[in-house]
Amino acid sequence: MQTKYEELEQLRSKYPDFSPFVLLKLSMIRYGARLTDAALDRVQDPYYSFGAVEPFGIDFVGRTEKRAMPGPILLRDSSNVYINYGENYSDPYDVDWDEDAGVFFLKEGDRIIETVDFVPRPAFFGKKTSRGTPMEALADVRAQLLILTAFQRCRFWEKGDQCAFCAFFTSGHTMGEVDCQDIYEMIHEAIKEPGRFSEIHVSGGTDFTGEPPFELEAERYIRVLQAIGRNFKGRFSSQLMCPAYPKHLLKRIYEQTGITSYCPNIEVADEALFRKLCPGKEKWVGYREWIRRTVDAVEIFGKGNVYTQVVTGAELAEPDGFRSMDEALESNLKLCEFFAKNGVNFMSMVWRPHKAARLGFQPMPPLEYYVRVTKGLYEIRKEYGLVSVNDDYKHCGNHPDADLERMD
Amino acid sequence: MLRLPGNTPLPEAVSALLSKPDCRKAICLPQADGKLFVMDCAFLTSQNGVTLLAGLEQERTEAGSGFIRGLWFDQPAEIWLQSGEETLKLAAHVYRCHIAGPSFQFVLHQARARDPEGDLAAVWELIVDSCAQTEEPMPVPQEQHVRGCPEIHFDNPAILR
Repeated sequence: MQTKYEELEQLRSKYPDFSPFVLLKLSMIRYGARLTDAALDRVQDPYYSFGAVEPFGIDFVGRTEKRAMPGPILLRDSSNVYINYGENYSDPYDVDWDEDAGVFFLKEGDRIIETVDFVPRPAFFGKKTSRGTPMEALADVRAQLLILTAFQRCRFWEKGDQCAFCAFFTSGHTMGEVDCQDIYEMIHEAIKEPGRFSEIHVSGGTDFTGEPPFELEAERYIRVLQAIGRNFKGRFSSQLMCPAYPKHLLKRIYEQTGITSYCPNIEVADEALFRKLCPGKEKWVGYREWIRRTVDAVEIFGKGNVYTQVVTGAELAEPDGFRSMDEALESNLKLCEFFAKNGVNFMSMVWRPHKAARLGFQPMPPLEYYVRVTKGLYEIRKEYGLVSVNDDYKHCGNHPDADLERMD
Repeated sequence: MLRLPGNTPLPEAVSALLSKPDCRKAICLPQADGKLFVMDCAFLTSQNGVTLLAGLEQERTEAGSGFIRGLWFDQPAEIWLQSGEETLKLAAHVYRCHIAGPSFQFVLHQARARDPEGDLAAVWELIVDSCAQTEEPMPVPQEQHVRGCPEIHFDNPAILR
């Protein structure tokens, strides 16, 4: 059986112009990584320790509250690798601490693949708001990014209409709606750390309450964004990730807040699969309407400031996914080109199966599939002059295709 | 290819020249067309006495793509230092990018000391492979073009309420 290292070498040879760091990132996300005892001991240090909070509300069996987990992994190029620490991977990389060298090594068995580091613990962790809310419970943190979850529940789950690949908020330890004073204070504290943050993303579980649907959710996002905005003179580099709203709601959000970009995630490129894998999105908006609204949003936010993403790999999942990787790839590239022509950045993120999702654990596609999707999306967006400012390696870190833009 | 920095101190001539207030610093970085892009490097320093740290004000530029090409594809860089009659030409390779942590903070602090609204998008760490005095003229820095909107941190007084 081919080792992960052999697979990397083979793909580096086959795709010599493809970044070896992006390739490694894809491989790490696909296979996972686990911390050795020495590494786990080292990340208890206050510089690394992120504590036990998991802000997306997902349980990972290998985590314990007695040991702190670190933030995401940083490769030498500062690209972000999001690893679900404690997940039960079948063939993961090891992250080991070498006391003599004073570095973390990424290893496969005894072979050293690379040296890695972790996103440093931000200075605002460990502090509380005036209401007594721990600030680290209010945001997920990457090297330069704060991700706020405005509503830590998703109403699609109520009638079994949740997206089939999603495990968000399934741990039972979530807060519901966040308090805006908490948000203001957390941001105010977080940005005191010199040069630490340059992007804020706001998202949450879907809440279709209201007439018309999503009216209350949009108002909630406006309140949260205004609370954040109290810290700034004007607009601040940011992204709202939420359902595809009608233009009048988007106009209101844009005019009443300092938001700069918008991202309604299509999740799956193929229409038939969208209906099967995203029944809630289909019921409350519909595939074609979702696409139309996403394109319409460019009138409000401007070319390149509207994004959408797919969870790459879900389109091949059993029982309804594509049988052929070429067909799956084609469905992604076709929709990417459509969106690019209309000024929308179509991005990919690697789907990691989780037992709490309706699709459950499934084998993931081969690494080469992710390379082909990543390369294809990057090349199409480049052809149309799109730059993913709010979703690049630093201001998000979840999109390997955006990482490739660094070469341009 | 992974090459760790080791413990060999920077050549004394490099440290000496860098410490001079009138030292001109340029970094030549690989481009897609095989040529080198010459970046005027306002913030070039060393924190550990072994590697060099270069502050990059905007990342979506020719210099930004040059640094990443140097790291991703192991393409060499050149560093030029000049003060008075003395010019040093260094061969170097790009080792690491910092966007948070002590090395990033170290150089950002220098940028902010010069200008409170100054900012850095990234700090690049380079390992010096060789160093020699040269009679060649210092390369002329080229203008950089920012793709997309400029980056700025949230604590920058220019945007803070």
